[in-house]
Amino acid sequence: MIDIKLVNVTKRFGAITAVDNMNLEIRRGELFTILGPTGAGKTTTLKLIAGLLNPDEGEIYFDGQLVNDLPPEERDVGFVFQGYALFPHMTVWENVTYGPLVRGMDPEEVERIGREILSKVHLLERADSYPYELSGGMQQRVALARALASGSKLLLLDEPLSALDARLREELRFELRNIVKEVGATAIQVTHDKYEALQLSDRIAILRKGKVVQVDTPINLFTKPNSIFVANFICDMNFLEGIVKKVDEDGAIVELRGGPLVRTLDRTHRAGERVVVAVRFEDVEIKPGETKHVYGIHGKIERISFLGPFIRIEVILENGEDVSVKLPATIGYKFELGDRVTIYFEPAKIIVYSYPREGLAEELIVE
Amino acid sequence: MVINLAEKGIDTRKLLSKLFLTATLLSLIIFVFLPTFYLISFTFIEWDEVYREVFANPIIGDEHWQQIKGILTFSFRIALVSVLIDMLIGIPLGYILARKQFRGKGLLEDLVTLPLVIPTSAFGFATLITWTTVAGIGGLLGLGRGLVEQNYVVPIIRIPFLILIVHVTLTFPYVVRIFQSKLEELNPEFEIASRSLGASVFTTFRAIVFPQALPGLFSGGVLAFARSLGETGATLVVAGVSTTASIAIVRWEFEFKIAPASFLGFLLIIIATSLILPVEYFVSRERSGATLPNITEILRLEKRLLKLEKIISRKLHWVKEVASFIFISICIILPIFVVLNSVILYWHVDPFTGRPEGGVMYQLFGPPNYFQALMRATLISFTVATISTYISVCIGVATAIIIEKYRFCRIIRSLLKIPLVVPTSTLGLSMILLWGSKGLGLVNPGIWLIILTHIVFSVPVIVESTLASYEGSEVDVYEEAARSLGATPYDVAETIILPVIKRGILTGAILSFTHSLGETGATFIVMGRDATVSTLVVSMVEALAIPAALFASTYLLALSLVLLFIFRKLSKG
Repeated sequence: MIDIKLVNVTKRFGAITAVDNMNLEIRRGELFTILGPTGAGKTTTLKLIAGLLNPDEGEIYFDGQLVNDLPPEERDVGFVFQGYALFPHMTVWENVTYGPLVRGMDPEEVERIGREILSKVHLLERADSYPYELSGGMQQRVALARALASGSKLLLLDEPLSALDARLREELRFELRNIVKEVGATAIQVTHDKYEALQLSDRIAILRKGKVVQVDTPINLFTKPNSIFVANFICDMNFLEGIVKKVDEDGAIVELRGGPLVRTLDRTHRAGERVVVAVRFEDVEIKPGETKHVYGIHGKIERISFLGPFIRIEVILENGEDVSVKLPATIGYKFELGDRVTIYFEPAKIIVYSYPREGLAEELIVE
Repeated sequence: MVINLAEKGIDTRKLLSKLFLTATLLSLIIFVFLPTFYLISFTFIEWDEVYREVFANPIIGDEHWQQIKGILTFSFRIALVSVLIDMLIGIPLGYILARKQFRGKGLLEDLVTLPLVIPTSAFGFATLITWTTVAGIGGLLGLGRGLVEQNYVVPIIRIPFLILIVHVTLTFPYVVRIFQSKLEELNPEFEIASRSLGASVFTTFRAIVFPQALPGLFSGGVLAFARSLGETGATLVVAGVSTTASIAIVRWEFEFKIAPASFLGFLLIIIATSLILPVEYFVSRERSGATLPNITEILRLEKRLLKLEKIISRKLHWVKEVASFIFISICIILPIFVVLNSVILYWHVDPFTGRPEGGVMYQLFGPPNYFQALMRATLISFTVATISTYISVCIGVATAIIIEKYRFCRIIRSLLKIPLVVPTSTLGLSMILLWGSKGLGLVNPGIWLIILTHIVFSVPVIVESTLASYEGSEVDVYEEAARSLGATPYDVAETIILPVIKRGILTGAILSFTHSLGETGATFIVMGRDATVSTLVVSMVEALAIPAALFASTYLLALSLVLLFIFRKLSKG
């Protein structure tokens, strides 16, 4: 078990800055996830930690020791690849014991480690199979076993479950977490799947354009996203532009485009400031008919999508903006396309952000 | 006309496609396979004479058989040692080309390809003067003489030094190129995984990369071996007193000792074929990657080896770059520069005696009048190259199409590897025996026989490059799309298949054109009085007209460099 520290790390590829002045601290024994859209620099970060790439600037520390100049084979990390990279000309056994062997361990020790690790991933009976004879899930476990077998206390996982089909992926999430916790390794995982990250991790770092936007526990990230980008990436949210009209001791009143008013508990913004009001799909209240209410906004149902347990209703407000509402299917089924409705935002469930410098649309891009 | 027939109905269509298949197969057999295999049947048909001459000559007894045995072991020794050296150079070089990105990589690739397109006789001559005369390395080192004697034999392996140099230089590209393309297919993640598991660069190469690239190394090695067995052009120039198998065939042919020559050729074809087919089979099997018994583990050397590899990986990783650089500089770049430099030195007079008779100008335009011979040879070379390439493209493209269309034609692809590895002088002999007065009596030695000979080795090259571009693009999908849009098979061939594979055909055509210009071994036997430029170089060297040979070599090298340049432009596109 070790802790990792990245201090002001920058990595460029030609004109592209893949990792931009990154600071990150990963605690001992933690299952840490690096989450972000494609091209955010996740895999580059992982490769920098593994020593497969060298940073242009900054330092990387393992347990307080500077490791910048150590080649990958001396950093003692286990790397699990997206496509597993199991050696095709070697059996499961040979794959798993490769690490101990090339590190020059004694044959008896190699034998012991191989047996121990393979039984941990329930693949001891398949030791003599070749990788291509195994199912995707088994290959994934061999890859994990191989990374663990060299005794490394740091496990790096590059989209470890992405090559599996959706069902298997969910099954293996818990297994992955159990194995990692059982051997007591520090593990860093890269993924672009937010559900996987939220379910699996002790803490998550959100990356955007090579920068860390927020590091927190899954529940904190979900309840208190610190920026529009994170909110949009982690939660399903509505974002509406507006201007703070008045601030009193209860909070602020925001005037949306076209005039509708929204009551919030936010007191961090001053009157006249341009802001963005964010509300989760599931936190929007929707009532049939056009009722009179100071903070109610009228609209018309534009689209209804059935998502199994939930129904998502898209409403066009009278000011022309879209709002999505997520309802349990047992309640939502009553609404029909073209229905007139009234939308209401509960003040306690609204997050108010300053209007982003580069514009709202830019901030909402996740790919 | 085709359209009209097609409109009449399905029967005409079937008839036409049968006609196409038959015509293609027939021309393949007549122009490519018959000449290749004729020598074998010739040996059986004329077995009585062969036996009498080779094993039971009334005067010299089995002297020829003894000679053949000696020559064959000599040729084998050369080929084996050459391939071993090819591996030593080819593995690191292939690795560098496949895995490293650096400035001048394109140039390095060109230099590696150069021996494949270079006219062998000119290259042999360049090597000869580089090593044995004061104009070459000797002069550079200030020795006042050549670095080695022409007939200097490397001890222990007992191979003449110059023969070894030309054979290694002419065969190593096969190993490099095939090994490189195999490595490029290999997912680099395997290497990253291995290194992250604690293996050094060198250990990774030994345990992960090498076993997976082994099939590529095998097929490259076999091609290099076969090429070395058959090398004639450069060997003729540098051989001096030694005789390799392919040279023996040339010499015996000129002494009208057809029986021993054909028997030796027969043995060479059998050997080359029995080498290439098993390896083809082994390499083409589904699961690539070979499992070798782990010798180091058995000997309990693994641990020490790992330490050694770690040291090499950290401290000595530059050796492979430097060694490759030195090899390429000395064996490829230097000879070319020496030839250029010598032409300048010898332009007006022999720089050492001061006599104008030893100058290039005198030999070209003076009484020896080599210029006229050179011009005539150029005309013949280009005529041969143009006509043989044209015919080969027609046969080759048709063959490529039937290989893709008919299942049973797939075997043709493997069979076509054989003409590529049949020793060139053997091929020449086979051509003369088949078409000449002893056989069908249709074509006498001369330009037409040269053309027929060049077709034999051009067709396989064109078929291979056409197939490569056919398989590289998704022609099948386009074809289905076109058919579903209402195109007839003929429309599809004309509007879809041909345009897509155009580049492959062009590449093959240029390769075979260049090959035809530089071919020496077979041409030497079948040319009669119509010498080509590359054979003229051999004649000049034999007549000791060194300045003329210098000029002709420069001229040939320049031509092949221009063609290589065009080839690169086209293949990179």
